[in-house]
Amino acid sequence: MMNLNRRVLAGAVCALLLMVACGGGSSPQANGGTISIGAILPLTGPFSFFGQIFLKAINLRLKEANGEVAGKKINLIVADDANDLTTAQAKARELVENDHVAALMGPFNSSLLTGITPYLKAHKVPTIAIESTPIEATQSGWVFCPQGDLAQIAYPMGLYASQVLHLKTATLIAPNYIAGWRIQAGFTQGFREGGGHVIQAQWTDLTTTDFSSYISNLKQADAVVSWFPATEVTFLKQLTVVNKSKNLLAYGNGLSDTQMQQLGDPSLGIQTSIQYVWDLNTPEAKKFADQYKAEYNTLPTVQNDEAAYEDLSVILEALKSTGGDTNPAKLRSAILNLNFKGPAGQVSFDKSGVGIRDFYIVRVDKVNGKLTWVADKTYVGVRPITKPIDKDAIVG
Amino acid sequence: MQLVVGGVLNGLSFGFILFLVASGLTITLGLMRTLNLAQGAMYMIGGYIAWALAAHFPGGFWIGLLVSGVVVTGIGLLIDLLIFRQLANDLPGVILGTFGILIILTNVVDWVWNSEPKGPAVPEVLGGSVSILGVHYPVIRLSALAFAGSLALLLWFVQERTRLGSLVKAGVDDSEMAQALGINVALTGRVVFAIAAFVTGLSGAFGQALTGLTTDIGLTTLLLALIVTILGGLGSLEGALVGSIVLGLAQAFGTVWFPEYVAVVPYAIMIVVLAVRPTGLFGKLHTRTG
Repeated sequence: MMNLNRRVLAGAVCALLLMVACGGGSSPQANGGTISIGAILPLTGPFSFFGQIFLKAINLRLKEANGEVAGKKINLIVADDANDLTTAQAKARELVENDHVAALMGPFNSSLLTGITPYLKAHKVPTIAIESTPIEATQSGWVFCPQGDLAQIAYPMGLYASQVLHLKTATLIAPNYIAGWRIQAGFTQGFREGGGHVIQAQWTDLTTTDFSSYISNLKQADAVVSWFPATEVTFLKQLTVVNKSKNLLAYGNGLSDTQMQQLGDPSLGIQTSIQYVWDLNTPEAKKFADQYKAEYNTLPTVQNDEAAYEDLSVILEALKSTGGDTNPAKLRSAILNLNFKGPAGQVSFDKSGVGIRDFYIVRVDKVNGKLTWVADKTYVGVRPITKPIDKDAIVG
Repeated sequence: MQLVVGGVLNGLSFGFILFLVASGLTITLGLMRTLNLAQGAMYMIGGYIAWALAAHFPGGFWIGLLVSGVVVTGIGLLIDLLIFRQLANDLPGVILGTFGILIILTNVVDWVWNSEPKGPAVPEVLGGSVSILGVHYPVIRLSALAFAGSLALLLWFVQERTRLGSLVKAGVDDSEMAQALGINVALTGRVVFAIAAFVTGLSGAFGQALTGLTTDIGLTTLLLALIVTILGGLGSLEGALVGSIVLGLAQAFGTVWFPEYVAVVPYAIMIVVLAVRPTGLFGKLHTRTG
């Protein structure tokens, strides 16, 4: 009897060891036939408008994939960071430790992403930045930024301003936090390469909506260059009343289509550098715009929805290439080796995980009586700016 | 010189709009001994209603001024009915209740108008700029200064030259004595609160034309109004006016001279004033006798 019990016990232990050995090669995030993917979005708070746009685009991409990848069902788990770091950290922990997500998207706010990066690195969670981010966030090796880093977005605008528009001086204004510093650093780098120089840089409170004092303080320059992630329309409205500068340059998601209509004719001629406009003449762009319109009865916004759509595409393409294997190291390697075409153009990464991509210089113009962005020039294959100019060295 | 002119005008225009919000808060606190944390949300609602009308209809700005005032007065009367009267003498209850109203109204705004920041909706006739001592200055800000300044004058006139004003001052000074003399302090408080709500609605309607709107403007406006109320002294209109102008000018010039620290300027001023004069600039020390 004793020998039988020992044999049964030995058999059980062997079976257990065998199961562990077989299961050791695959990640706990792949639960049978399901892969969990997390998204930390600003669904409430000052950036909630963007959060809703991201969610719509992510759902569209999920629907396009029929809710599965590499033969496995996708379980998308969305969490609200409320634009608060403590909340974002708590949500990241829940998604990683409770929900065992294979990959994450977000948060949107660069400060929040930078704040949770050490945790993501420690737990080896491949994370896709929803939008452009400071280069510092990608240095952990586990945060990937297909939209490019912030300085990278603005760099083509600086080149264009100096080399094409032949502007010599610029006055900059942006919120006083890392995203504002980096984006203006990128513009400055491109502007200097073309022979221009920045004569003034003003840094505002992130939440301010009264720009009157900053506007009164603007120095005379060839261009006014601004970036406000949410309140660009308020700044431009206040500026265009008193400042008749012909060259107003802004960035990325600063001015949505709705806000452009609010601003009206004073927005004519405003230029920006951006990763995507809805009327790019490619099959991928047209397909995305048509799908978006069919699903939501409106065309995509300037850039935010394509960004979120592309971010989920990165995760899905990487999972396709690993055959559904969610092992963090394999997934990371798969992301770095990606090279596919999305609605905004070719998507690939440099070795630090920042996107190498095309940027479009666009301008507000009237098309069929409606204000819209019109593409002027394309900068192909812009690489990340790995050492952006320090905030205090921008002027001069 | 241009910086000084611009700074003074910016500070005054912002300060006067802030005064209109803070005046309601300080009088309510001084007379009714109650704190309406929904004041900022009422300003926000006034702003969004006016914006919606001004941005979509010709002449909507002017209609929006009136509609905002009426709607926000209605909200004020509801707050009085549902919170102040039900929770009389329960200050913590009133604070929580009105803070709850702030959150509810913020979510209503998000639901109705979504959270995308709205640019200022300015009527065409006020949309240009004029040259003042070499400074191109927006007409809308000068109009806001004139509008808010006129309302401030009207409020002062009501307080100093009317029976209602006398009742208010008596209630603020010593509500028990006023009650003993037959003044219905509670009713006076309600009338004043309704007037304050109307004025707050108007200030939101005009304020949106200066700064646009975001869904957190209710909270940020409330914080500034509270600072002004404490700075100026509870129940003092003069204090609220001086406090608002000081804050407005400090922010306008602080933005240029010490931009890195401008966010802390209101709090620093409040701390300095309270350290020197704990009742605020024009506040009175209420002592118990007997």
